Parts: sequence; structure tokens; C-alpha cells
Amino acid sequence: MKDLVRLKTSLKEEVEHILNEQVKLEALSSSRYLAMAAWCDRNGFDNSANFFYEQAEEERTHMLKFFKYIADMGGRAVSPEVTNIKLEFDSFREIFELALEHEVQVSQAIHRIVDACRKHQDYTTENFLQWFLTEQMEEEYIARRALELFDVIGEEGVGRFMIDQQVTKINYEKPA
Amino acid sequence: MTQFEEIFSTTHGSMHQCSHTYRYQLHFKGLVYTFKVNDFQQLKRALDRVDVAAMLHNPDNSCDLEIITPPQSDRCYVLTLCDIIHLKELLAGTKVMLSLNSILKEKLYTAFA
Ligand SMILES: [Fe+2]
Ligand SMILES: [Fe+2]
Repeated sequence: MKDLVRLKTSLKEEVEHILNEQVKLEALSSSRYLAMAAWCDRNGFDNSANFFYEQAEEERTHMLKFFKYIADMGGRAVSPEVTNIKLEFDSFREIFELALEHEVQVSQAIHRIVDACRKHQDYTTENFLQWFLTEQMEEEYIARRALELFDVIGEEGVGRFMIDQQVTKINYEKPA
Repeated sequence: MTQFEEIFSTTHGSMHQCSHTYRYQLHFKGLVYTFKVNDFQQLKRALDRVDVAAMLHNPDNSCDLEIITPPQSDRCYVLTLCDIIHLKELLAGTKVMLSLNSILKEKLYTAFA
């Protein structure tokens, strides 16, 4: 008997499911960063606002990358629903703390997909994920450096203004 | 040309596959429902979402029946608690047989081709 499921898609049901979960998480990232951008804008942190607008945009491209991969592999890509976005923050610093925590959460989620790929011997998807593993090195680096500015510069006096100046200058040099 | 092979059956119904048209066919409660490969997963998920325990414990009459609209079909199944259990069993068995078929195909035919 023909294996119709395999002919239709090369994704195992469980892998397809966890990839769709990642679509949701990337969409959530995008919305969270957008909320952070708006808060920074409201509170006069101009550069940080731009920084988060760019992050939001980038997360959307991550989401699409997963989405198109699922569709290309014959799977069923699910357009994500995003709710419960935190719109208010206690401080400028809290935003960067949350951003770093979120990036760590994303890295861990991607590791779990790699686990699932190995369990189901889905080497194609594992290979696809390599790009994201490298990307997360950069994402975590930037978020960590940004938060460190609060200790390096300090928040007193013109501190926050200085931090806002430096945020967009953080640059990750990819290892050769 | 359509030729259906049986994938799995119980005393309450059966599931078949047509390898020419790439369709599955469900025989259940006197109805014949033919559908595409992708829609199997969706149908199974719809059934999986039905909470049998909750139906059992809810005294409300409206909870004795469940209406399932199969994907891309203009008909629907009105299912009693027993029907739900029978259909869940049929779909679960089908899934196992399809997985087994996948494994056999890969191990026997592809590996030694
Ligand atoms: Fe991302
Ligand atoms: Fe990110």
C-alpha cells in the first residue's frame, strides 16, 4: 500500500506541530518587541525605540522563515494568534531584562526542536535549524550587551541618555 | 479508477485507502466520507479534542451529542458518546496502521530496493 502521508509531506506530525509552535513564539517575539518600541518612544528613548522596531521586524522574518519551511515541506503552516502582550513596563532597565530573558527562552525552544528532529530522524529540519542556532548566538549577545550597559554606564545623571545612545551601536562580530 | 484497500476496521466502521486518487475513505454510521490525505490529521484532531470524560459527567442534555464537521465536506456527523468512542478507536487504529505501513515501506522496500 502506498505511503500517502509520506508522499504528501516529509514532516512528521510531531515535528510539524513543534515547528508551528515556533511560528507562534517568533510572532510573540515580534509583538513583544513592538510593545517595547512603543514604550521607549513614549518615554523619550529614541534610539532604543528604533532598536526594538528593528528587532520586531527581524522576528517577523524569523516567523516567516519557519512558516514557509513548513509549507514548502508539504506541511500545514498555521497562522499564529498572538495575545496577552505586555504593554507597560516599570523601567527602562526592565525592558532589556525582559528582552534577554525572552531570547534565552527562544534559544531553548529551538534546542527542543533539534531534540525532536533527532528523535524522529528528521535531518533535513535539523539542518534547517542550524541557521537559527547561529542567529540565537547573535540575539543573546546583543540582548546581554544591552543590559550590561546599565551597569557599565550607570543610570544616574545622564546615564539613561547615554545608554540610549549606545544601544544601537552594539555590534556582534560573527566568528570567522 | 478507484480501488480502495482496507487500512483498519472495527465492528463499528472501517477506513480505506485509494492509492490511485490519493484519498482515504471512512465508512461509519452508514455514511461514506472520502477525503484527502491532509484532512485525516485534521479529522483526528477534531475527535481528539472531544473530551469524553466531560461529556459523561455533564448532566446537561446538550452534552450528550457532539457535532463533527469533517474538513472540506458539506455534511456533518452527529455523534453520541458511544459513537465518539468508536470513531476515536477507529481513527487511532488507522493511525497506527498507517505508521506501520510507513515503517514497513521504508525498512523493507526502500532499504532493499
Ligand atoms: Fe527570533
Ligand atoms: Fe530574537
